[in-house]
Amino acid sequence: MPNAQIYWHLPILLLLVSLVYSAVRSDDWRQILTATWRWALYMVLMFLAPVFLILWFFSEIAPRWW
Amino acid sequence: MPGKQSPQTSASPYPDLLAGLLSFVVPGLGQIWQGWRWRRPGRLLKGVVLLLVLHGMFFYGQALGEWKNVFLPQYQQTLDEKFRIFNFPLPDGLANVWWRPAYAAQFWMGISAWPAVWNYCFPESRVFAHYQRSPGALPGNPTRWERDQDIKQFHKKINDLQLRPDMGKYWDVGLLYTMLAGVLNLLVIYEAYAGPFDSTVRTAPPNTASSADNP
Repeated sequence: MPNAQIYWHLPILLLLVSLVYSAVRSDDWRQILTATWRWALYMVLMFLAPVFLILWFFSEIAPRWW
Repeated sequence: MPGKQSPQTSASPYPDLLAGLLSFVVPGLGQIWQGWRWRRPGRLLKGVVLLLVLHGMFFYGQALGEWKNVFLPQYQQTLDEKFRIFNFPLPDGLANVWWRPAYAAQFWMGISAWPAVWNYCFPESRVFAHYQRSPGALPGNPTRWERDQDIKQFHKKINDLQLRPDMGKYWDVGLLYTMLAGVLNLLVIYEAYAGPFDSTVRTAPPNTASSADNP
């Protein structure tokens, strides 16, 4: 897949956004780091994974049916 | 339980307008200032991390776009009449941001993104040569045609850049980094001004609560 290496930026962006978002919620570093992982995981499972599944379905599965 | 506690006690050091302004100018600086002033190393470290992360994102994004993805153009100045929204003619500045909405996000990155505004307003004394230069902004009294040619030349350059095989989608990724850094700094500015969003941690630590004027 051409340009596939740009997807390596995705986990980096996810972690950075989660880190900043968690950092503005608390001053306690243990809470910040825990929340960073939790938000990153949450975004992967609740947003990216469903989007990936929908796109995968329409590109790989659906074409076999029609 | 947040509901059982008062969100702000008399010892609360927030809101802190100066820290908000500092974080607006340099992301994370407000938190660094507060951490130093209140002797709270955790907050100071948080400011340093925010400063490094946001500047890292912004400059890395610019580097991916070969330092040509942050600019505020002078498009409106080349038009015969002002651009209108709901029949309301937009002033030049607003119309140009309308045409380049990415800059509306990048602007909030603070002083790192403001050379674009300087170059937009004062093309005769540009800062950092071609860094964040404003297409269409020429020194003296350029004609509309000259502005138009300058904009076309700039867009040819960035179009060629985007069509380069080794660039691929990196242009878009770079733009995303710069815009995200600016938007995330909005959270950082508000956090410096109003305190951590979790209301239970907005009070001052015990060692500073005894002093009424500190902070």
